[in-house]
Amino acid sequence: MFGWEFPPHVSGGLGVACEGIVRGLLDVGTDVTLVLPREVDPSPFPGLRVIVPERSDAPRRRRSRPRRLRLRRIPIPLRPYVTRLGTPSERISRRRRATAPGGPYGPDLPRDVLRYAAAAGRIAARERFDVIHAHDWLTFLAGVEARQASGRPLVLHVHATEFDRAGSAGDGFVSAIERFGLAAADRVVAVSRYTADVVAREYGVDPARLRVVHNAIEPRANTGRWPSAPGVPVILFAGRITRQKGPDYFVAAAARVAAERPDAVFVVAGAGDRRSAMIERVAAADLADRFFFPGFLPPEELRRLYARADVFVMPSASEPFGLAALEALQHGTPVIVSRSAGVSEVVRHVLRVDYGDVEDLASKILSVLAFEPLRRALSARGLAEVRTLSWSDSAAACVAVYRELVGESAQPS
Amino acid sequence: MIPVCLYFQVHQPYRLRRYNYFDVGREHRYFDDAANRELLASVAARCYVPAAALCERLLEKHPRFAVSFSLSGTVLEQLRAWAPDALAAFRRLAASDRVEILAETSHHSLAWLASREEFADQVALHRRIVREELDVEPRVFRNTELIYSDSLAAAVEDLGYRGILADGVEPLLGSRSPAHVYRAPTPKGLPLLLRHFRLSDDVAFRFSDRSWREWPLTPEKYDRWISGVEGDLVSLFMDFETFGEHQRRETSIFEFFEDWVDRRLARRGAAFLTPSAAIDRLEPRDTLSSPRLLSWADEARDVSAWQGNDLQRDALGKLFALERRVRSSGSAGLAEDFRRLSTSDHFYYMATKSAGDGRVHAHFSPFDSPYDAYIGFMHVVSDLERRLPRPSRAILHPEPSRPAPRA
Repeated sequence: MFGWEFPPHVSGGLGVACEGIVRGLLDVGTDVTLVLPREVDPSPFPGLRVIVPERSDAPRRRRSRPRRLRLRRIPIPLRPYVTRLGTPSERISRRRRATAPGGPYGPDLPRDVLRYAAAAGRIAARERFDVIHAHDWLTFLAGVEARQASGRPLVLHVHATEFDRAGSAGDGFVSAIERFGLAAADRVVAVSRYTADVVAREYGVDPARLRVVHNAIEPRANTGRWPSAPGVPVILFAGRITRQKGPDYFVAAAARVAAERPDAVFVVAGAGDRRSAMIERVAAADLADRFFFPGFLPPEELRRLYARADVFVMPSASEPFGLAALEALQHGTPVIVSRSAGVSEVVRHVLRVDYGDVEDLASKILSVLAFEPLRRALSARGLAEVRTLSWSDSAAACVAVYRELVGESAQPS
Repeated sequence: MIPVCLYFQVHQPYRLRRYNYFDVGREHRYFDDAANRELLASVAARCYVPAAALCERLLEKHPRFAVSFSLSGTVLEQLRAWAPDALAAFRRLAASDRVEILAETSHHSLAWLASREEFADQVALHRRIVREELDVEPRVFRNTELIYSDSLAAAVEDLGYRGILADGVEPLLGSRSPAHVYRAPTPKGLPLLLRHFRLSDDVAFRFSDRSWREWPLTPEKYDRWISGVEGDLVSLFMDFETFGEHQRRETSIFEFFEDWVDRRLARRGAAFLTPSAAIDRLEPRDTLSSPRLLSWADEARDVSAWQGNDLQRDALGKLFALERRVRSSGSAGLAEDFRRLSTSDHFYYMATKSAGDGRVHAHFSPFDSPYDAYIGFMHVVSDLERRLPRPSRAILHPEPSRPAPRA
């Protein structure tokens, strides 16, 4: 398996999902060899083998480049998630984070991605395995390389596409890798029906090769609610502050909520290229004293926010899955998500809004604050529902996909 | 041969429009007239008109055919406004002495669960609407969704009715058969007719279910099952919308029903009885008691379809908390809005049951989720409260109180 983010180097849903799938696969008795760009401590994952490409795995210049895939470094400014740089203060706060040094996103990501892919072929040639499984565009080339080198079938797992990350204005390099990889894969696994539709529509992936495996969430103890300060409702947005995540609609709806509820406060947790614009909008609306922008938060702090919030809002334009919604539900926090979000395919006990419908979003936030039985029902039933989700089920669905391929490859072609 | 008692329920609610927090205090029209008209016209065309015509034809063909209907006040008003041809058909049917029209609440409501006074008022109102629209006086009562208990039977007896319908479920029957007339434990022993739920649901729910072992259900087979019942009477109670709506025309439900009636009545001694005729001719077998509320809905056959979760109980409680003030307002408009909100359907849409029941609830709901149904309903109740005279402490928006809308 080729992964990019993995604990402790996690900046978003990709790392969480990769960890969940690995844990689930180990639980259902699958041997996993995980190739990562950075060292991690495998001890929390009994049975997992981790390989980090070494200097000797890297092909020497020119000579060992794969023949059918020419990799060339392209000097363009490219970031894996559109917003890694952020403001100077965010950069400082990131540097302070324990996970920041040696994190999976170096200053020259395209180079790292290509080096990793080049090493993948050598690793695949010497390792023993039945199926190759690679997560998102960062590892798609590695997956294709490994398939070339080993002749084993390739499963590409799509957690997000460049269309989700950037709309139509996506990065050409990234979408070219996605297109190339998805065309070469034996099976494509999407994290939701929504994402499967995007992959089919934007990349022309044949539905016969496409499978949906929903994400899940690791059960967690100590997810009790924090006692609410009386009379101070907290409305939470948490995620990358980019257009895709709909922060503009959150702020617009918050302004309407603020007018009705002088006691409510709003937290916009995360970093991203829309953060400054959001801060300016909030200031212009004279709501600066009602908003908090704590920046990118480490998981423990984020969990405390989930536990304290009265409503969690995910107003995304395009949300392949939306693990944050499951995390909020796990803390008994009522959730409002965009109707199209992948997560709403697996949970019923959330409120849904159409993307961009500010009035409906504001009304639903106000309704959760106004109606105690609604808050209780969303909290209790949402929590109960999220407890039924399991990474083992997701992993078992992946294993079913592997079996299709191992069966196929056993046939003489 | 065992006689058959047919009763068909005819009902459509006034569905709520999308109504949000910001509509409160500004928008006093609560119901989605366009959607309600469109739905009614479509149900009338697919079901009421052709199914009523089928009943008329069967009455003409067979002097021994008889049938009963209960039409809610809300459907009668909507038929008058939007499908007068269907209303005319029901009026012709009601004129036959082999057709019985039953009594219920005017608004197909949950009033019995919240207020006896409102319940009695809605029963009286229904009586008036039926008299005006169908020109008959109902004598036998059926409550919303066959919600039933001993105390309901006693109240219905007090109101002067000579019989009542309920579902033939185990809590009421124990090991007894539903195929008899029974008595409720009321002072006069109100006669009780019980739905044979298996044979009723074979048609109403399972008729077109291809995964059902008995599919396809033929008239021969169905008639054999009916004739096999031991007892005095087989009561088949179901939604009239079974014909052409729940079971689409393409399933041959109309042909099935007509063939079955033809087949049954071709035999000597076969009979169809109206509820009143059954009460007149058949001796009650026993007295049955259920202090607990029963109904014909969901697997549980209790009131959990409408009052099974906190949202549903909160919604009904908040609505009926306004009853006294609605009454003292003396406003017919406020009373009508209040009563339309008491219709059981609104609460049905708020159910959060899963699996089979959940799918049935979702099928009938115009809302995306039970939560949306609750939110819309609660904001409407909020607005209704603001329209009431003598505003007292706001019930719906707890502290901190919501500021008044800006001028």
